[in-house]
Amino acid sequence: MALTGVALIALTLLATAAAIAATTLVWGRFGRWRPVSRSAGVLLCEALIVLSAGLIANRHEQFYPSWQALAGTGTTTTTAVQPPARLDSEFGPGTTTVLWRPPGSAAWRLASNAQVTVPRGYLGSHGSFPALVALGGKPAGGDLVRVTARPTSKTTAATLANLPALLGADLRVTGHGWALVSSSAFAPLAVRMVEADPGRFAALALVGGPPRGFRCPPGVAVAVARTASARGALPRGVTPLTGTWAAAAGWAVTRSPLPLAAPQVLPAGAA
Amino acid sequence: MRLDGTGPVLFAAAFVVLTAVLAAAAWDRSKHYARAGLAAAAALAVLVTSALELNRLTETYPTWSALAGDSADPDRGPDPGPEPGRGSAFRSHPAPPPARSEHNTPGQGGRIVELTVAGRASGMTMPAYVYLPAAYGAGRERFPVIEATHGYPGSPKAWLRRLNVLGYLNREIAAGRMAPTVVVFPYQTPTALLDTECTNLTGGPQAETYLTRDIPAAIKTHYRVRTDRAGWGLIGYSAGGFCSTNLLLRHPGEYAAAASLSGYAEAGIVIGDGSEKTGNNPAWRLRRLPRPPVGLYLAYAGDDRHARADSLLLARLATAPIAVTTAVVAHGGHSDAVWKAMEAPAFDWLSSWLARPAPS
Repeated sequence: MALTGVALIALTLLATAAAIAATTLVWGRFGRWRPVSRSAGVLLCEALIVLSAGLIANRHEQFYPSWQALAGTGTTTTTAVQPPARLDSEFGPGTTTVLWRPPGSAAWRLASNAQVTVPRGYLGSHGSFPALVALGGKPAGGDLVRVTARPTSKTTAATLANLPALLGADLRVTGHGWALVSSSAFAPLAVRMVEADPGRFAALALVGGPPRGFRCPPGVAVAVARTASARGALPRGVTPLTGTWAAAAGWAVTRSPLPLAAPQVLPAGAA
Repeated sequence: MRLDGTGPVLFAAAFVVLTAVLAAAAWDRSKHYARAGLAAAAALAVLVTSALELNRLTETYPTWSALAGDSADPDRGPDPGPEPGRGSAFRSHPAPPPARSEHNTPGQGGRIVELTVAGRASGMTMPAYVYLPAAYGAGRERFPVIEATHGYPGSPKAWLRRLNVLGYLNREIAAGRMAPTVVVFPYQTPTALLDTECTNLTGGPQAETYLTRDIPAAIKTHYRVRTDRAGWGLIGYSAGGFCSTNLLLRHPGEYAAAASLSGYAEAGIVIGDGSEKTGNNPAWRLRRLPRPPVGLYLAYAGDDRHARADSLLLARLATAPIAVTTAVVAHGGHSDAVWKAMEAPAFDWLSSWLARPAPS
């Protein structure tokens, strides 16, 4: 019999009516046990009335849709340990930077091979790391996975469109909260990369610039690092920084999420 | 004795037995009016017991004074007055020593402190509870913030007493699955049984303004927290799940991500300006308006039909650039057990979306 079904409610109401009738019928009986029989009858009636009200309310609001629901969730969280990624084995205590030449990387039209650097703690971790992509420079990536690339005039946001997915296949990186740091020479490319992949990058830091007509992409924190003597107003919403690559990358890292241990997860819902 | 504890329920239950025994014993010797009195007393005892137990389960009136209609929370003890040198409209209540507060365990993890937020923008003045992670006292960093909304009927005390949020936060942060984060538990209505769904009710409480302007302003004034959008997120269960989804979609410039636990796609109330069908309707927003680049976590129990259908609808409509993660527990309906099972995964997920604690 279903917990929220009419049958159970009807049965409970019937039992309530029966209890009231029985209590009334025996009200004058049982002699010296009368106080006990009466009290028990009254309490039974009251309990059944409250139970009926509770069942009706539960049917209406569906707090506990089934008997099973009363027993808890039947689900335990699991730790989403990330399996080692393709390139994990290439890193070791003395090797934190390797050349990165995934299949298809020739189409990126870079001046030289890209490099990936993993932070201290990457090898001992089973979690995912946000990534910092640097165009035209090699700033320290803090505790993020760092990709450095030297674009050419033939490199576009379109040729680099598969870079995040390829990085995801080769290293344990998150899908969001990334940082992009670029020299002013590649600023238009950097801006288009951020705009072409909304939700991927949390921060964009430009060393010099910004490009003419620049507007902050929605949801992305933007900073421009310039020399102390630099003049000229920055576009609205842009954070001014004094310095070059270190200032830009340092700022971008503080805008990214902390690399975390493998999270507790529940099964995903139906698509 | 705490209004929302088991004490008053047991006390009232004793009256249920007492009135039943009294009626049984005194019935034959009583006149008609006295019998009516005995019956009424018995009925009243049952009603009061049921009401107290319901209140214990939902934390609708967490304190005696909340029941009396006083919106300020007496739990915090005598009001120490405005903090010297602040000159702001907010009154802060520095954390009591751990042993003095029911929520805090000495020497373990973070602690809960209380803050009365006098909302300048909304006109709402309510207490709020604030979780400060263990790292808060030691460091000089500015922490990310999560605003946690409660269900209806309910109060922020439900997070603390029914859902054991302090324990979950301490555990997830200590395990490194969550960054040290400040978590705020505000009230979302000045009147316990008025369901605002965190919106600005026409001619009523301006809950949305309170939650999205006054609370952030107070937290940014009083605590070392991040002031940028990247560092702010939302979480809520049941009606609070609707709140977190709706507030995220309405204020993507203030919040980066939200987690909805058994939440809904519609307000289910009349707001007064018809906006429950439009601007305050996440499904309508997702269909008609540009979607913001935010993270959205939608969790539900498989047997919670309404929340399941609404979560799946939202997941289908919230396409790129919104990044949706869904999470399901097999069963458990619309209950505390379900939300407890969801807490750790939801907080871990939120933390992965929020900017880290940063040097001040």
